Amino acid sequence: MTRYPTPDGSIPAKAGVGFKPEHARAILAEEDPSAGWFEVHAENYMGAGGPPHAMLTALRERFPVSVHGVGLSIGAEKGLDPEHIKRLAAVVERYEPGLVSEHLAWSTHDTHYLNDLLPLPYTQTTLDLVVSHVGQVQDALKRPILLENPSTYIRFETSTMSELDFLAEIAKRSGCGLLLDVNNVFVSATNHGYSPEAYIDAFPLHAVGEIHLGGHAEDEDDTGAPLLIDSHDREVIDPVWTLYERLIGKTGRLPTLVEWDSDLPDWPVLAAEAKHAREILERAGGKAANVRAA
Amino acid sequence: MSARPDISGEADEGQDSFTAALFDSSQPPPSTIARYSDGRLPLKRFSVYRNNVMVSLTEYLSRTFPAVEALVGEEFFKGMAGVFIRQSPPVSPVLMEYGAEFPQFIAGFEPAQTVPYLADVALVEDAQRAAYHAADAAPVSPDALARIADADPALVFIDLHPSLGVIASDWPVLSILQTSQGGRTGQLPDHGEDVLAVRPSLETNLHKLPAGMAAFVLALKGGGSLESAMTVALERSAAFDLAAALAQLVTTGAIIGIRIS
Repeated sequence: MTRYPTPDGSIPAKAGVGFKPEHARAILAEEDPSAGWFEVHAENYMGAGGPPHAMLTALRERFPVSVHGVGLSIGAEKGLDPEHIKRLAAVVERYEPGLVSEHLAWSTHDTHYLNDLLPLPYTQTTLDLVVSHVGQVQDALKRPILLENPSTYIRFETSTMSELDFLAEIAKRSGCGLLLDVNNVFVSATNHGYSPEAYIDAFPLHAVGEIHLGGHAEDEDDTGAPLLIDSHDREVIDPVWTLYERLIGKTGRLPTLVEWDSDLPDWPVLAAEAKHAREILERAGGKAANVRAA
Repeated sequence: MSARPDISGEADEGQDSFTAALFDSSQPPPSTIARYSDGRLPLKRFSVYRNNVMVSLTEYLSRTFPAVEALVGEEFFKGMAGVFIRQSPPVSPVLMEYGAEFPQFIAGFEPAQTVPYLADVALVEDAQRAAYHAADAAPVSPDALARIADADPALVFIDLHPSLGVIASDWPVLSILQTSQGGRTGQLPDHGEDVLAVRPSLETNLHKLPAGMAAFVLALKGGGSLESAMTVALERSAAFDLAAALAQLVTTGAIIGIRIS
């Protein structure tokens, strides 16, 4: 097993970027790196070998890396797949990421993998389910994970608690940290007609170990109301930057990731997004947050 | 699946009907979803999830089978992929494994019968997909063949690269694939082509195989001795040349070990 003496794997309270193989050459050629760290989707590194592992190995020799799972299906009512937990554990053991995160969502059902982050009703039943699943993952990885707040397009009649209370309870009971995706806050708040600022202000910020930023698409629902879609295919919009600055003002500096997953731009466009996040982090001055769950 | 917590039917009803409605737009969204204030179902909101699933999986297939898409056009490909996805959705969150059944699906897909070589082109692209993610292994150097020059072929076993795939086709499948991607011009050959896919290091390469060689490589891959593989190959083609076949395998980086038992 390759060991990485440098850099130290912990994720700095700096701007990072979601890693795409298309950018590998440009990233590794930078003398003064635009990003302080990179995040990878765990499932892309679950093959036996080949270019993905070669690229991530080269990246990990230069940068701290965080591992972001998209396929554990933490909210799956039919339980977690122990084989998938083992695959995730193997990625974590091999690349020694500073942070490991997943989503408050489900993406598998029976033998199907649905390749999307699907929503949960917020009830005592689903809370118990998610807390038990997070515990199962943390036991297997022998480390805490971060759980990300979702972008949602629908709500459930059956929900009996707010998303904020739900997330706070998960963190409290499972000991996990939270990944606060500011774009998801903006998308969900717009879609369901609540204030994104109020959501950020009421978020259990003490549990936040990482922040995500990304772009979204705009549409309308059947009634003509705005319907935002978490597409990760364009720049972060100004209101989301403003929310982010408000958040950082409260928490101090935190590791912040810019995500861009489809319609990929050339590297300089992403480097500019990372620079924007870095400027906001630097404006937060010497106030560095204690990174949780690292 | 294990460690299934004891949960009430409430969540159960949600994910069963949610999943069914994702793949079948004639099914209504689950009844637990909040309606608009006028009582209507939020169909357009639910369709975001439907689109995310179908569009992301279709894009994955399009990235994995670019020559198939180039041969039938984007619209046809999208329709065909949609039928395949609904019929055989991914069974693992490790998406890189998805698509292995796509060639067989294409072979039986009625509207694609006018492009009879399409399934074979898909087989080549699937072999590329598998080779890309296969285990890494170092090929032996060409002089390793010297070791078996005087050995009894019944006792010689060849270990092939984990990334290796073989496609035997009645169509000039490699020339079709290269033409579809602009890498080749001119008349297509009027005979079938057998193809070897292998990734000796980071690049996956496709090689055309002479007559009898596909059977030879498949016999070796199945664990057969050099002699038994040679016999199979000669049954296919009297022109099969063992020395040339071994030379092609070793120079393409397809051999990772030679054992004499």
